[in-house]
Amino acid sequence: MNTQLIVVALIVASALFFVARRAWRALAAARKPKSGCGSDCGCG
Amino acid sequence: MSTLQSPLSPDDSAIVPLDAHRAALRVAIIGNPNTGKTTLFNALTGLRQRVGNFAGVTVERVEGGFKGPDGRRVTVLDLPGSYSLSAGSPDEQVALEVLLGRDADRWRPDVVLVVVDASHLERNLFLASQVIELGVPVVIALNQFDVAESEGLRIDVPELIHELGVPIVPTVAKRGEGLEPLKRALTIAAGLPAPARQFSIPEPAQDALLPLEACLVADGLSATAARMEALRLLGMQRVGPHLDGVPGLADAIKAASDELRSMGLVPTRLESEVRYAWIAQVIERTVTRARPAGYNLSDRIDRFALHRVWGPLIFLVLMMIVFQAVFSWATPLMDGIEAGIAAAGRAVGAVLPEGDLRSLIVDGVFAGVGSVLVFLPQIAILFAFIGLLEHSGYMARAAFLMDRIMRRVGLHGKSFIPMLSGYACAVPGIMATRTIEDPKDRLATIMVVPLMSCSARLPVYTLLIGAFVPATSIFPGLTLQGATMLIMYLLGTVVALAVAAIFKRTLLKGPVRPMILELPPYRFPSLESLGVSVVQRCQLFLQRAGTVILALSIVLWALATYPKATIDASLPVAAQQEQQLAHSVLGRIGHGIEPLVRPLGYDWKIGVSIAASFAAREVFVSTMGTIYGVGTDNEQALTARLQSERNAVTGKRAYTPLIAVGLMVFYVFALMCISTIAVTVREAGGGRIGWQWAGLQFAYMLALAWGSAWLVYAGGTALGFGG
Repeated sequence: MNTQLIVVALIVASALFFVARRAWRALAAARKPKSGCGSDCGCG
Repeated sequence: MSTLQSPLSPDDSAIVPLDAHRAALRVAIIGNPNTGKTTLFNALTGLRQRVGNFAGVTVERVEGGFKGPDGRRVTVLDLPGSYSLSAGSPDEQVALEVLLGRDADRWRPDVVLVVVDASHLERNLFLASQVIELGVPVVIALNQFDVAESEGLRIDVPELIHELGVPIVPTVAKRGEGLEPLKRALTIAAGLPAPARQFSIPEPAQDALLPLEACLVADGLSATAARMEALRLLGMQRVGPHLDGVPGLADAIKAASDELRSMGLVPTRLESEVRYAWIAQVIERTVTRARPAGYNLSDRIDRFALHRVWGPLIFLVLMMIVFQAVFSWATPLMDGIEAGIAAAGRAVGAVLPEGDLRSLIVDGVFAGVGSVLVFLPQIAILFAFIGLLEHSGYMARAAFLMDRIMRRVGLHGKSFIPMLSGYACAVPGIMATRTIEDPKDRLATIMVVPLMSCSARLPVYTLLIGAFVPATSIFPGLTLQGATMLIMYLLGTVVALAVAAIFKRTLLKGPVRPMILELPPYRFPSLESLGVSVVQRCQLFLQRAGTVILALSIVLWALATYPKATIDASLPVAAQQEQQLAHSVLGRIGHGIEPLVRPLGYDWKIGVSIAASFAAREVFVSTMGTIYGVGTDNEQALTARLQSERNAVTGKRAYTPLIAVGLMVFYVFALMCISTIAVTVREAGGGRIGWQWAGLQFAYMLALAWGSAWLVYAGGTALGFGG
């Protein structure tokens, strides 16, 4: 496995983790009765 | 009447803080809607909360702070606007719970700052007098004092302080006038004695209220607050959630009501009658009108803006101007950004050695995020116009014009403001439904707000319109592109009303209530606040592009790149790309879902872009950018690639104007936003019920999107528009 591929794997894994975490946090906002949208949904 | 001495005059500068060494002072801001509470909050705290010249902008509690004149930290809580403490709607309930110290999540304020519109003193004093009676130290900000003066009103402030028994400071929040005296007043108010009730109720009625007051005092309310609460409860004839569990309260309300009726009094009107009678006396003693009230400029404009025929026409013309400007004005800026991103992509590509990392940066990041960033000028122009309409006071007129239609649909006129907010984003739109008292009206509005075209749809519309709709002039100053954009926005609105009508006649059947809408005076928008709101919107867009869109672009690039196919090097570059894509995970997923989208005229690439955009709508554009490798060595822009793309099997054009229209219609109706689903769950009641409503919302919108897109494609093809 070359260095480029290792770096790419790390970047893609981080992006996947970020997307999953963001989705989880957005859905978790459904359980908080008085909070906002829970993540930067773009709502301002 | 009270003979309280004036505790503070507005120009009092020799104030000695009573307890300078205490911990932070906690101040809650309350007032009627559209009195400038949030403008004052922003001026005091230096924050940039959203403001607008119409009622119902603030629906959540927002906290900020500043350093007081005595060096103490002052924490300020901005509460939603409220006409009274009757707590008819969820946002009024929030305000009441905080003031009574019954909100477990929030602190009880040391001082309540009541923001009063000086030009509408009579109506505003209703809430102010209710708050004063809660027994919490109160300061009144007599805001928009300049407007009152320009209308010929002369307010005797020292006399008003004497009448109400609380510190009063004239302010002009938008210009930052009166802030220092206000800060000083807030600092000392916590140490002042609580004022007594300023008006009396008929003696026999007082006796009838005693058992009810005793009930409330036993629950921990002060004697003054209990009296105010007793009157309020009689007016509402029900126990609010904040008093649930107080033993014998419902019986006490009934007994007091029966006794009052036996005296010939109407319990539901008792509070408003005695309070307004007292307010009328206060106004008589403190306000003089330098010139008689007549038609002002706002009235003259409204003769046209609210006219049965001219009103809707003016509204339509304004909308046309907005959407045409989004196309015409943004194009040079978009071209500039596009060229900049392409140059940056080439520069980075030239530095990096050939390999997967280079491909990730150039084909994934630059092509994916870059294709979305191009739409920044359009976002800025759209929100500049929306801000202009909001700040000028025209939005309230738009709500007024829509009221007749809303009533026909079965919705309350108040529902239009959340729907308007939905044009920016469905999340604050759904939260703005908290101003609606009736739970069924509120739920019906929540169910349709996501049908309003939010800003995330703008890149999708713009890409497709720019690529497939000619810029033919159809009217002086209006092209077919601008008109198509307007039609997409109107389509969402019209269908939202139709769906709401179905909900109100089936699952959410209920009576239609009349709307009382306050029309604020027209104001020349402050360029600063307009600029701030546009910059905030652009920042959010960039933040989203730099986080969610970036991460999704990287993931989609990986899905489109692996596993690697054995490429036939003798094929042209485009065919090689096609071969790799077909072999990749993304290609396999795309081919898997192709049967679902084929009836709509889409190939697997559109299908997979739609599937990816369920995470965020803009991802449709970035996925297209990644799939077509825009930003690589290929210098063609995404628009040009879509126009020239051919179906690999049939050799026909993969994208036709008919397919583009069908796609836009799909995006008008489909619910593709996790945050919106989460907020619907919460605002529809949470838990299982909340999930059921959110599930229904997602399902009906998806069915509507697929069905409408199919109708466009099948109908258009049958009519000969398929080519």
